[in-house]
Amino acid sequence: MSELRTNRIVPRDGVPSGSFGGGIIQVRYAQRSTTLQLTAAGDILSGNITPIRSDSKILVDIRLRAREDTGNTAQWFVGLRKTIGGVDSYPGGRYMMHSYSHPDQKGWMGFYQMIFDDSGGSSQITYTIAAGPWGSNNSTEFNVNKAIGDGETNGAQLIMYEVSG
Amino acid sequence: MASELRVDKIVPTDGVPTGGGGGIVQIKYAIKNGTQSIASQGSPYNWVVDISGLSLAITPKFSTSKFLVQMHIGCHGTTGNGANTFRIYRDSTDITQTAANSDSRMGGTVFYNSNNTSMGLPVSMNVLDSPATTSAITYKVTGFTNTGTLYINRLPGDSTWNTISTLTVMEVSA
Repeated sequence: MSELRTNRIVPRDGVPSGSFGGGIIQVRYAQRSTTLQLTAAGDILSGNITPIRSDSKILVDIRLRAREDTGNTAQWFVGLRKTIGGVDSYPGGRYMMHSYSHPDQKGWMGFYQMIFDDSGGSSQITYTIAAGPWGSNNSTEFNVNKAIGDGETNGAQLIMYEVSG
Repeated sequence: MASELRVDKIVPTDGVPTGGGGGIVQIKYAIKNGTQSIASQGSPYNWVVDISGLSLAITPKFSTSKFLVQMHIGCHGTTGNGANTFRIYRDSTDITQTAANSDSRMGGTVFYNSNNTSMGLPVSMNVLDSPATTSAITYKVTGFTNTGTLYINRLPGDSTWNTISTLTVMEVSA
């Protein structure tokens, strides 16, 4: 067995112009295994990463599967919130993803997105997947890990990679 | 203590697994915040439209490298607009569909809207490509709809609430 310990991995000639980074030096993972039913804006899953270097980039890989119930007449949005020292921001936008299915049918949706973010230092960063209805929820639900006919238990995942910048 | 590894190739000590790759040595990323409308051009269904802002040029370090290409699109189809498809091209080569099938209704990934309402959802696709060159290459995303309009990053009746779309390319040692 061999092991390499380093804080930065870049191509031999340096990071190419316009490139976001080189090798991955740290990976963090979070998942939600419990049932969640939203009828208004709320948080789904949070994960933490503490960058090793201030010039690193953080690649946030978001994977969410959710169900809109029958009677849905609302657009649902999904966003990614970033929190450092109690201060919030939205690197991919508060309304990063949206879904809208037929009001007479249940809609099973997959929300997948990747955000490249600046580490901005070496303080712990908390990323949170949040969702909510656009305007009124019109009595509809947004469900995660809430089974109807299946047994899904890992419907929300956050993978955070620290990438050498 | 800061340490830095400068290397062009990262592989396991026993070599790269068959059909796989080793470490990631280079990453490029594009994010599209603006909106775009793709109106159907009708039959024959042999056309696609470039999605502006979702194009990346990258120069491989080695001709043996593989490229992990990941696409995430925010989109919405107008009422009952049928097949909405997306493909990823490397230069002029569609890497998400065989050349034998040129029907654009059968793109690399499809969402089909037969409802009597509009429909929106995120669409994602990953491809592991082997370009076998050290010359610069460009990856791009295209869209298609067989009727009506396919909206990128926006809803049909509301241009104030925009989503995002992204394209990520990773060079993987092999």
